[in-house]
Amino acid sequence: MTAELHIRSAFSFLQGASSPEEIATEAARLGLTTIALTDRDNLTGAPRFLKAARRAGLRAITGAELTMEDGSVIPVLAASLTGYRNLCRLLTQTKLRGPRLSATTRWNDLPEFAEGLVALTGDADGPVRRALACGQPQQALNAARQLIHAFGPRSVYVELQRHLHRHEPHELKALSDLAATLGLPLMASNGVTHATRQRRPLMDVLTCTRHHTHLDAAGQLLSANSERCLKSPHALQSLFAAFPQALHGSAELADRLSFSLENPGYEFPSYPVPEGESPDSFLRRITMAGARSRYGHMGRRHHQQIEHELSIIARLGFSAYFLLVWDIVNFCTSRGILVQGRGSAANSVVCYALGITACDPIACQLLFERFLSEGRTSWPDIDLDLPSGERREEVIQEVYRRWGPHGAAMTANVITFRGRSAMRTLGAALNFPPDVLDRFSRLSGHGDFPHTLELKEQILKAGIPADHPRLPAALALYPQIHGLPRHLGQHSGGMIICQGKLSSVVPLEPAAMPGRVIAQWDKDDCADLGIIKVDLLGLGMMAALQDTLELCHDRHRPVDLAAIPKDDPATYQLMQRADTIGVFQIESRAQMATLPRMKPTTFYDVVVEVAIIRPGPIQGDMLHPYLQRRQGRAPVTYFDDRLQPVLARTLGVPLFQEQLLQIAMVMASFSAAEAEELRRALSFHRSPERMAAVCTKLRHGMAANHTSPEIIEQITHAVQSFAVYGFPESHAISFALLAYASCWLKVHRTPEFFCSLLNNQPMGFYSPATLVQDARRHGVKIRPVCIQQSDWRCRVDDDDSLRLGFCLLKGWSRSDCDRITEARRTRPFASLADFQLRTGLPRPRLRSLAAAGALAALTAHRRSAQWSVEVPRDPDDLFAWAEQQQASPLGPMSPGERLAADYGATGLTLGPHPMKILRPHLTGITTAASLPHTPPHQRVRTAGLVICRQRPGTAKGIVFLSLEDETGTANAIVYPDLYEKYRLLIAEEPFLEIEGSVQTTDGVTHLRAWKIRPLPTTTVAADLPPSHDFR
Amino acid sequence: MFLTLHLPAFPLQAVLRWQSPQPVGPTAVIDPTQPRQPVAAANAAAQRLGVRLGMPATQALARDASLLLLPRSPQQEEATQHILLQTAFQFSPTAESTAHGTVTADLSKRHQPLWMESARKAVDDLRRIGCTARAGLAPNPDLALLASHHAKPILLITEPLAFLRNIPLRQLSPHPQILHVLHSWGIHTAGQLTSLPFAEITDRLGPDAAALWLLASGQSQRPLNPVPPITTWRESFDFESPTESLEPILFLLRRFLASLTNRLQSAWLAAGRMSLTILTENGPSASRTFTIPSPTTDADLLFRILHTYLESLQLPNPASHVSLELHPAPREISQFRLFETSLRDPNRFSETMARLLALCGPHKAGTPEQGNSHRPDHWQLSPPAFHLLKPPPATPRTFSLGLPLRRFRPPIPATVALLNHQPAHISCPQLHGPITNCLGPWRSSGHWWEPETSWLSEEWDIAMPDHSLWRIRRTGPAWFLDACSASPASRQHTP
Repeated sequence: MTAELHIRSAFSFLQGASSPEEIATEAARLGLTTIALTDRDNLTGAPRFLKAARRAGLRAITGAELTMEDGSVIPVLAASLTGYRNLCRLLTQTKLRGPRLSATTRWNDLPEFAEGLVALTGDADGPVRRALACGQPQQALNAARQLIHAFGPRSVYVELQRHLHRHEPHELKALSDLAATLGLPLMASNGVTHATRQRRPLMDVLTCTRHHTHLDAAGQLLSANSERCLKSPHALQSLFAAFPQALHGSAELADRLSFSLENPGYEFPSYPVPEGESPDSFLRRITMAGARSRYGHMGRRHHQQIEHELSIIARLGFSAYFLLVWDIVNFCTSRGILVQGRGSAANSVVCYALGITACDPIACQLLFERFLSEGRTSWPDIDLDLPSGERREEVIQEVYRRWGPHGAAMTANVITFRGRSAMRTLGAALNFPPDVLDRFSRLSGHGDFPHTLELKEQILKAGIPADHPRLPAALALYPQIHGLPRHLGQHSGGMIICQGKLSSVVPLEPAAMPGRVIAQWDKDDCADLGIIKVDLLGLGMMAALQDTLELCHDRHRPVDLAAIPKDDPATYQLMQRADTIGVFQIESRAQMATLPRMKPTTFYDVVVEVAIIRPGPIQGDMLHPYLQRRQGRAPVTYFDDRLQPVLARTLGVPLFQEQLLQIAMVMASFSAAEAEELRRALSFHRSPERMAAVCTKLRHGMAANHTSPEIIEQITHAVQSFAVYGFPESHAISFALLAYASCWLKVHRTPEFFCSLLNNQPMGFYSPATLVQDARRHGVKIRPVCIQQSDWRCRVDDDDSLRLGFCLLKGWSRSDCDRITEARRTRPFASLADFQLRTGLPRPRLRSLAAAGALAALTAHRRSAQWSVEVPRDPDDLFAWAEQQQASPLGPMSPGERLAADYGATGLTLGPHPMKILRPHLTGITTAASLPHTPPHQRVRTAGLVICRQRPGTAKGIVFLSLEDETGTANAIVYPDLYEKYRLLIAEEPFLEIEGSVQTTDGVTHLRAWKIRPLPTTTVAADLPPSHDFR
Repeated sequence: MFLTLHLPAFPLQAVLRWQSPQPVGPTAVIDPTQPRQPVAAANAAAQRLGVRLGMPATQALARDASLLLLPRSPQQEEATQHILLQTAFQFSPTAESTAHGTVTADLSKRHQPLWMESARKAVDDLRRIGCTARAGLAPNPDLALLASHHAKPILLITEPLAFLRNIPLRQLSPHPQILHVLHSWGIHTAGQLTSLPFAEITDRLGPDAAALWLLASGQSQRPLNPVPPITTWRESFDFESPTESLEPILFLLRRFLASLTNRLQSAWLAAGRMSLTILTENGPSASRTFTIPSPTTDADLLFRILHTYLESLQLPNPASHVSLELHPAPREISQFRLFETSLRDPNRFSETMARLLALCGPHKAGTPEQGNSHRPDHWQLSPPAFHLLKPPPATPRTFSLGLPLRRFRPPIPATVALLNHQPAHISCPQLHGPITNCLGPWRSSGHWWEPETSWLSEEWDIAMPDHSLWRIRRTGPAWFLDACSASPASRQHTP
């Protein structure tokens, strides 16, 4: 017997302890030839299992364990494509019926989906053995008959398992008798839950997690021994020597299961082309039309490139895919939804002509082969950026509508056990105290804090003594659980689409978000099995841009995003002075520190700016050489003169992935496909063997082209280190378009731009409070929320002012606002009583309006409003609206009280900045605005509200603080030793005073901190907006 | 007239009550159960550094790294509250537990000249047991409460309005929502509140605000909410630095018992059970409940039980906390039934069991029970519970496991020779000869998470030439004779 037909992997989520890859590797080592994955209620692991089995030279069978409504579990195996489709549909039906995380299959559903499936009686959780274990043989017989009724007598096997438990002989005898009584075949399996014996402890840990207990209390819930592992054919032969018919049954069943997931029956959705057209011809027609519209007059180069791309697309059979994406883009355009392709698609002139992408690859000299080349077998990757929120959801729902609820789905995202979750699971099972696990989590790396502690050191620091008896178990289990699947999530934007029913190809299940359906495979699995995927990604800035354009249109000063001049001096001046709060991508502290040194003057400078402030270029030490060369402080040199055309636009410093491809093509005569293979081999998921092979090929290629050994080494090293982090130039251009557009709008449509930013919060780097302060610095008058004027969203009143909307009031919903705007539609509110009676708003909302000053139109001052809104109004009193407002005994608010009320109600203030109120109590404090005018090295003190705390992994422990005051933002650098000294102060205090020396480089001013003190806590501290901390 | 006793910074005082010497530097108590562990109380030195109630522990530490932070102790707070109540009960049968660290007694039945004397005596009594109290005397309970917060250490209120004028509203414990509204109006003191018209306030903010207004004007009248008799008898102590020796623990326990049994006696109750908990630093804790077969208030007897147990107790780490709770029971319990064997002196039996456990070690004397483990023949000993006799739990019907077994405890070491990985010959004092048939192996293993207690077992059932049936077991390289079946042939060999 060389088949194991009942295996649960870790994709059974807490009911299996080995990954599909580990199972396949171990099965091959033991000499098995056929293995079946039967995960609990899902097929999530099936693609990875297939891939791993193929790599190990094994035949992979697909199946699943079905949890039935009575709690029993039936393993089923797909014997044919029909069986596989039925299994997918059955799982989909069960999952979509819900409840979401605990759906069970109904016995009555089985006959409908039984064709092509083979059922086993299962292990101890199976209906037959459950009855036998309770001493109810008649019940066991009935359960077997129920299976026969559902699947037919030829498709039910009585499964024998031997785990060397004492009661087994009796059980095996009973099962054998039952099979003989009903005329059912026997089959043998080991009911595998872990690939090797060494994984049994992990299985016990997962069992504890599943039962919400720990190892000391789990008792007989744990495995009795380590026998539920894969076993060699020889071991299986001797285990089941007394049941040769079971061994024979397994072999016969393995032969009978002819289905392979390599062909899951996926059919690419066809696009309804006009009569007489093929997808290829139709694509050609609309591409040419689009290109003419884009370019006006097309030259030879345009024609050549389009022909080249279309021929490759046609040869690879991808025309329908381009039509499909074009169709989605058309839908967006018809609905006025901004859409822009990102990623490598921007390298394609066809995508540009179809309106999928916004940058001209010919003008930008982009390399098409980075996107698509002859050797490619998987679908090309076209990602669409959409405005986040309702507009993106509209597009997603349209995709569901077009292809039906069972024809499209979001791809899954497999959430795995990582540092904190891994140790929390292990620690809970090992019965470590919760505070130890909390400390472990706090010691873990996150965001800007790269993880630097060794595991053992981290556990010891968390409070487990070095001689703790369970420490070795924790250390051994941690790497085992790390990376195993934990649960299924939803991918941020990937959608897969199928002709016909997608639920026949992959099981679907409801997502946590209402109205969404997800497939059980992740995006890589879908790609491996040739399933088309389109990423519909939400970008907050796209939503803000779209809102800005709509506002501009409504205010009769429309803007065509595609037509804004790319050489606007005012826009570049804004970038050069790092006045970029609120814009896309180049608004972070690090970007703002680079912009004055970079001094962008062309659009391509923005592209470089977007790409260069990334971990890759910074860690690869490319930032400083580039800036030095740009400022003329270092000569522009090349690895080899032949690379001048490739690297000239980045001053000899390789920044983009396209340049990597071109280096290989120029220096080693790689074809485009070979160069793309080199990039993939060197990317994040690189294997040492594959990397070594392509590097050898690269070296040989360069040597053959008469390159000196030193240059070969230099280029190989640069290519290796850079390929991991390099940024696609096309992607950088797509982002730079948005960055430039947002800067242009900030300069030329300032009120509309800020209004849209405020309407799309939360997004970007800064809070509404900071955006409002920045808007005011740009001359925009911000008017407060007003019940007579405001709408739900912020609104532009005139060219230099905007009115805040109710959306900024804390705790408010759209329906609250609707009550006001509906009532206001008939006539303005005459009095506060009139307002209260007509809107019927509850007391907390009225208090919120009064505190925010939104009732100023009807009352003398905020306190007066606060006093008046507390008067109970009787809606049945016909003359209540005419009641005279009584004088308030409360005096007006002081400036400090107004500030506290502002932050409490909206999280921002239109009054003076908190620092302006604190300023009279401070002496000798330099403002943010005057800091750049302070002579270098002078020791000064500055103070402000901390709006950003960052400790980038690339900065060797240096912490960057941004302090906001009423004049602007000051940036301070805190070196590691000082940070350790003031660590808690920096992390906890909302207002800081920093004493340090001024450092000015190329117009960028920082304060090098020497001393840090807290400022007196103000009453607003509790309501301050969150700062952008350590992200 | 009402007397309110108040312990300022109550969580801190409760924690520090048994501390000696008292910390002199900045000290605060934090609440570890709350997110970000806010400060629950701080001494004057800490407050001078800017440490405020509700401030996160990390922020408090940021104010001064030398700040001593101690965790809040609900047990010690409860015990201290009981002491406060007992103090109040000295002066009046009607006392209420007004708040954590605050009690109020109705002195209306006492003569006026005794009011100040009562307050002084209460403050002195509490000082003797390590508590710094303040006492407020006023014509109504709420005013007395406020007076206690401002007393140094005793304050008698004769002119309520003058006293109340600058009292912060927060000290009147208003409903949080009302306080929020009043603060948003800029009203922060009782005087500011009473300057607003009563009817308007009532109209706007309802009856709670009206009550607050009356309180702020010194006009509130409410009956006390007398507390029922105390039903828990518990004392606890957190060592400032963990102790490694037994003496401090025994010393404390003797004091605990003296206090607790006195209180029990006064309530005409006796200790039916006694729970002792010792927590250790960064390690496992020891917790034990002693059933007192015949409820008693004999402190010596109870102490002997504890002493016997503690003499045998070995803690892996120094003790950081000790608490003792007496669970009351009526003095007499029901007699045994007619056919049950009675014990002449149940307490003596209990003491004997405790001594046995001390001699043999924990879990080595008691009533055997089947353990929750796959380990073959796994059982454990539980303390005898004479009064809780229950029928054995019903077990589900399952496969027959064969003939009844007679276990050898301890198992008998044996030498087993294998042939084709199966036992072929056995030799041990009880059994010697070739094995004619065997069934197995049955494998089990467990407790892998601790190397010293992990186990691995492989069992075989064997038949000898005389048809006797036996069970043997291999653990590592060693073989053992585990059991024999209850067949006549096997019985001849039984030791």
